Amino acid sequence: MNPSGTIEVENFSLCYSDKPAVKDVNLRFPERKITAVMGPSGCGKSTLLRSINRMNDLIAGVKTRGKILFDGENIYDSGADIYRLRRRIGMVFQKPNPFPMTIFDNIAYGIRIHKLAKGAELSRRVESALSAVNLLDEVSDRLNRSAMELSGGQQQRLCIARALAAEPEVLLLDEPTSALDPISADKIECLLQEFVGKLTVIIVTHNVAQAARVAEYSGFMMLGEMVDFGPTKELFTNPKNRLTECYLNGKFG
Amino acid sequence: MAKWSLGIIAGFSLFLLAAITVMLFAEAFPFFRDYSLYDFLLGRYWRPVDEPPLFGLLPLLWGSLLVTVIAMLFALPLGICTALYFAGVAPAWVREVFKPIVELLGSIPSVVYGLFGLAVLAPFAQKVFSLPIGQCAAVAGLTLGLMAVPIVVSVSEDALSSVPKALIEASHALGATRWETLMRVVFPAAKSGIIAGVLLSFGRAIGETMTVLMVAGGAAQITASPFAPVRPITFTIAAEMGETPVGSPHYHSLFAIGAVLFVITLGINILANKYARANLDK
Repeated sequence: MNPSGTIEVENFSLCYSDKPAVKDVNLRFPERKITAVMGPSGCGKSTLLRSINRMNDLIAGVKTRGKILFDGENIYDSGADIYRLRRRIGMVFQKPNPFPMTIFDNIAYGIRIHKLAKGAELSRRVESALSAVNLLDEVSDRLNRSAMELSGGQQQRLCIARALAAEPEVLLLDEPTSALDPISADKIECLLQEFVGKLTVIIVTHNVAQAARVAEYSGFMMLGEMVDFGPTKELFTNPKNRLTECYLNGKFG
Repeated sequence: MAKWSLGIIAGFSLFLLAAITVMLFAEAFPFFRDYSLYDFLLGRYWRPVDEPPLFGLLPLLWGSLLVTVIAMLFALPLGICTALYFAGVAPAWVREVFKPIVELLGSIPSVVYGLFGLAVLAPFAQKVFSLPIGQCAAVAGLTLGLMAVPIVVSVSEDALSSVPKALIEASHALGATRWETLMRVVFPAAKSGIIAGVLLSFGRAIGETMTVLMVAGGAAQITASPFAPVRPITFTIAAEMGETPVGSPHYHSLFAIGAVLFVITLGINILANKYARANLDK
């Protein structure tokens, strides 16, 4: 009865040293749907995203308050296993960051780290992850070549496949197309639609049109606060907050 | 005007370097009028004051290589592990306190390392292994190795910490621990930079003179035992140059072995450059 992939944020705040970055956010990301978080630069949207898989732990001087529940369990509990958490919540970054290894080893990385499979089963999973991002046909004859030889768009799809190979229930994307050309960006947007019903997808973007195209739900952040949140259609046609309306109309940001 | 004068100064320093190189080979060349290149390169005895004298390179080359390889066997594991610790495991304050201290060790003059080898390591080796004399290849190698550790740590740490942060984040985001990230991502990505640094420190160790002069023992022999005294190339030049009449075959032979050393270190530097560039290309 436990629907997998639920993320609930409860009274969550985060400070870098003494600088508040996320202020008292309350929100439930709908499971196995795509949710976009928009907002101007520095509004805390990336910080909020990085709080969901505890990537902020890597930065010295970060303090958090409140809870983030993943399938009902607070990921900030002292006993939480962050390595297992990060396997279950995959992440894709703004700039493609493939490892300087072969395409195969890139995808196999998470599987090997978590000892999920080896031998023929490992190869099978690598291929299925590549085919899940429509990359298998493009690279099937050069799995043992360096991933650095791929184009930027291919590299970003490789990074998505690398995250998928660890079999996550949630996928976090931090402005995944902002460093790509429009055609590569379009491929990734289309790809995200295929994850609906399988994965909870949370995408941070400063591109309002992208949020409108890909996300069923959207939130708008400003100065660390979640100003508005709801079904994307409602948010765009009838924003509750005047700030949201101004942002969506391109008055700032 | 300023542009011109800088160009002239830069040109002058290049000219000086070129002049030293030319002089080295020009002074080495007359040696081969009296002595065959074959006997020099493959000669197994260095007896410059015998009658007739023997100028065989091999025992000297052997001494240089043996001492340097022992130094590297000591310095590489120690230096690379220390760098891995600093780059990936140590808490920030440990790195901030101890990294400068390790680097400070690199600024100790080589004669001080030589003194340490002579006063501490050599008597220790003599006692423990009941050697006739304590100065030997092993002690010289160990002393040189101690000198090389700070260089190896410093270049390896630089290579490790220049691995892009984005790769480290990618690894953590997949649920890897710091250790797994260090061993599977950071170290492989830094490998060519580390190799370049290792080659450079090899080149410096083989050219180091003062320390080996103090602790290598000085016997020109080809020996398998690391506990026998040896006579590296640098040792030979430093010890014999003052005692030989200018212009004699012995005098020119010292330039010849100097040229051999030059070719070796030049080759190592070219190789190191290749790896350093491979590191940048990634």
